[in-house]
Amino acid sequence: MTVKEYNSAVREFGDNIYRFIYRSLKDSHRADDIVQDTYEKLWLCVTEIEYAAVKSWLFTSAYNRMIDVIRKDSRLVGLEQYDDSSLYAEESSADLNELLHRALERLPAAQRSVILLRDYEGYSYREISDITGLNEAQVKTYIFRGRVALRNYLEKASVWQ
Amino acid sequence: MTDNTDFPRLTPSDDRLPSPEKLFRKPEDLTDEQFDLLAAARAEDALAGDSLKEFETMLESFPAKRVRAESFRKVRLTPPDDRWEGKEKMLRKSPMAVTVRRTVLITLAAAAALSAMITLGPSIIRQKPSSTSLQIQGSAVVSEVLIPAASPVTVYRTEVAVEKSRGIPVIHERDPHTRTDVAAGPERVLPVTADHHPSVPVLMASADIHGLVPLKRADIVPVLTPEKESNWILRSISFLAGAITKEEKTVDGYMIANACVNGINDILGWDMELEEVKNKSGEQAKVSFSSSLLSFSAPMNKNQP
Repeated sequence: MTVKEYNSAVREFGDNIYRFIYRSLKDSHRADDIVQDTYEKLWLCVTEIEYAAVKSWLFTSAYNRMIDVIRKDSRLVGLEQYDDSSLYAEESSADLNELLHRALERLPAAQRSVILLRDYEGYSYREISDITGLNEAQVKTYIFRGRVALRNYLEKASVWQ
Repeated sequence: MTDNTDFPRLTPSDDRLPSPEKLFRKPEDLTDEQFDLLAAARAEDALAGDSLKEFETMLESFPAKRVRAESFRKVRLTPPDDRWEGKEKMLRKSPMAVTVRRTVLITLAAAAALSAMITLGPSIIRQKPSSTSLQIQGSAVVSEVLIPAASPVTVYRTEVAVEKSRGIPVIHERDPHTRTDVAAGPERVLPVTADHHPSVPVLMASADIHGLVPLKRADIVPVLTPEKESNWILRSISFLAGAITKEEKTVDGYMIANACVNGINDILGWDMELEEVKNKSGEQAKVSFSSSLLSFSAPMNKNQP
């Protein structure tokens, strides 16, 4: 990858990576740090990565860095700790997308990440599997369970009766 | 058991599950959680083949469940317009751009240094301690006297040498006892400078000098000092500025140096400052330069060409 392609990767995917990390962590400073670290890492091996694969590489690297940060903060909530009872609606006046994002914050980190990659970036199960290191069956399970949780949240928020 | 004794094998008996019907399930037997998971998979287009066909068949039988299953298609996040503010910081310069940038930097630095030298150079040179500091200042009379070759000439400082009341320089006679006789020989020309100020040196010549008489102050005609001119660089730049702007412009060193400093600040985002300090009469007195690395102040001698 050339310097020009690297800069293009910053301009083209910077917002996407940031959005993914920020919505996963809900912490703009940490998200900024993680994205910067990711691009610093990319710069160190810029000659070894093809531009065609750089988006996937960036998401993978940023995801792994985020997981490290979450583990360090002991904020990782495993799927086994998932508690559907926490999905209580706070208000029903917000629009659907806003409610969905609120519901998303209550999901375990793994579910949240795969849903973000699926909805924001339109990645396939296989691509999400490559980024997160989960196998495809796990990715599908996390996405389906996440969707159910989101729908239940909306139901409790009186969006659907 | 088979008859083959070499390879004896068990033959399954005809035992049957008593009531397998009890274990059969119908689509309506799916729990809500199971149904939701299948509905979510359907909304993701992850169901295919027999699974999809069976699920669709069930939905046809239960319209209420179809409504619920369809609602999963709306559970989609729309990306918000989050922007990464640190994007510009991560952009990198190409090697060519870095080379050009360095070249421009060096050029600008050289220009700034040259401007600073134009502005501050004369002042710094003037500040250097040297024997010229003892030179006669503000000369009032410049003349020449003819001194015989054999006559000794002594120059010394003395306040006695000046007639303070009238401020007229006096040529003192030497001690008669040390007087040297005038010998025949070629005469020499000695410039004589006299001043009424008590601190300046006064030339003492031999008493044998004829024709030197005390002067009255009224007789002293100040020598006109030619007007100081700016140096050729400033004259050239002033000329160019006048030619371009069609106006009479006098460019001084401070203007050039200040323009260079401001230009470098604009281009590189630095925070250098060149400040002109004027005295009470509004004339340039000194120049102060300050930056994060270097700060100094130097007096300005605008008369020095």
